[in-house]
Amino acid sequence: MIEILTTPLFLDLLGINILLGVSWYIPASCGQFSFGHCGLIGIAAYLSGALTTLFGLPFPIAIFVGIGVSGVTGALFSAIGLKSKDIYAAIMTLALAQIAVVAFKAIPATGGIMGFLVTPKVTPSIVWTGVALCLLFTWRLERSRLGRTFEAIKTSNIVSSTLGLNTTYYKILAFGIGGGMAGLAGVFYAHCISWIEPQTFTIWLTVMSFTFALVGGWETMWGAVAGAMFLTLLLEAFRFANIWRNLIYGLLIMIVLGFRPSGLITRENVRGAGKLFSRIMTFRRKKSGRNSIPTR
Amino acid sequence: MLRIENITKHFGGVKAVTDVSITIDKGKIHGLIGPNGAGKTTLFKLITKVLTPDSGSIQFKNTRITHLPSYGISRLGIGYIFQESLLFRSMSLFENMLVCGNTPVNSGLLSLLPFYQAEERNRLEDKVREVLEQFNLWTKGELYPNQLSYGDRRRALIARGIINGASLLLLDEPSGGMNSSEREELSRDIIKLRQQGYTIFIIEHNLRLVMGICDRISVLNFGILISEGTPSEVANDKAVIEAYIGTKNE
Repeated sequence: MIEILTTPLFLDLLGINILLGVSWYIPASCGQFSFGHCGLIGIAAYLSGALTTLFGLPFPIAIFVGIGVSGVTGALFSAIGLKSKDIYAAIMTLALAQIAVVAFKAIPATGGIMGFLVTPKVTPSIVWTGVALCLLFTWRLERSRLGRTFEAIKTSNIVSSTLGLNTTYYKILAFGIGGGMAGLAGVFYAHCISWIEPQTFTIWLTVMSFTFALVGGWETMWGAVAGAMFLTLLLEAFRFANIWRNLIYGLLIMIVLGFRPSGLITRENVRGAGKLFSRIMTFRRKKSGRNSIPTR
Repeated sequence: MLRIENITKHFGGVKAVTDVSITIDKGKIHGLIGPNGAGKTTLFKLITKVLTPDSGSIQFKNTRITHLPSYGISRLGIGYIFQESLLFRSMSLFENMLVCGNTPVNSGLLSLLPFYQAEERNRLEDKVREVLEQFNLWTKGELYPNQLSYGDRRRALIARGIINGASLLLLDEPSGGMNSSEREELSRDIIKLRQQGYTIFIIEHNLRLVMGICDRISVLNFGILISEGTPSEVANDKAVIEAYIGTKNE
């Protein structure tokens, strides 16, 4: 078991899953549910795979193009989806993602329905550097005015509008950021698994992304991180159960959500941990005779 | 300052507001009263474009605002303080005050940069402090909405409207659910705001409060404007008395 958990492939997939969970969490933090994540991941995977394998471009360029194109596509999905309201907007993003999947099948250069071989480029250090940068970005986002604006819109769209916030703009921005992060996951996935095919980017991938965030808790980014780690490890831990593995996996998700409907990590947990950390730091400063730093 | 002209809103067969015209003068407290279901809150929602009027027009500072979205109306200086206490529950009182779209501080991606617009941010935080002190809420800045009293939550909403740069405040039943001492404190706050040059348009069920602080009052009943004038004129208007108490035949 430990051997599997330390293989580069497992470490890569764990990092990619964290990116998936956090990328779904960002639009959700602005009250937007993305069902089109699979399409965004697929677009970046196909595009970056084609750039490195078919055109021989350097991997960093593929990363930037993947992030950029998925981010812009996510923003477009959102702009189109926002013509409808609530769940209809989410369904609209799913429909757009399905169009992307159909397009993958129709492109002969990328192997059509059979898919194509991508030159492997990623190592766990590359994936985890990406994960660390994305987490740092999201951590900063949550503490910024933009993060508070997202939170306000999630709580009440109407109140936010009457406070002078252009809610449509912020929703599109949230989708764009989440799309960009999903794009990075797609680029890493393509260059880790080395084989991409249209069947990979179905609704199941979207379900996986939001399951990470829901099980972990979608009030903070740490929930998405915890959910991705917990469920990825869980799936590996029950590998011995063969065909019963998915059944056990589903049952455990139901149990977790039954006992912790807000997910494994809530905002209260994070706040409590923050207070504990600041108390420890204050205690250490007092012990070393240094003045404490004002909180604001 | 605010001119509402022949505004109408019907929901199917229900005539929520019919052909209502009201003018709010700058620096005054204008009350809007009427029995339940008279269309008072609907009128506020029409002013702020939470609802779209069927017909009529609204002008604010000589600018037609009927075609603007909610955020555009807010940016012109109209602050809507909702009937329900709508502070963002996941944020402290201080953080709630910072969620304003009408300040010069950037709320976009650039706000992620720690030192970007440091001066503007400090200025905004100073303003928040000043306004919260005015409402005796500064010491409660670290508390979350569920840790505040109902009265404090209501007054915090007014404070947020001011921080957001509103010159006209639409207060929807601000004293609802308050005890008598909280209500008195609120009255003092509203009068103080008028002295500072703010214009107040207030919906209120507590007639004693309305009669005590308003310069003019408009009365709605079944979505129709039935009376308008000074508090004493309205109090003696037969149509108003009938709307509140009913006629002999009823």
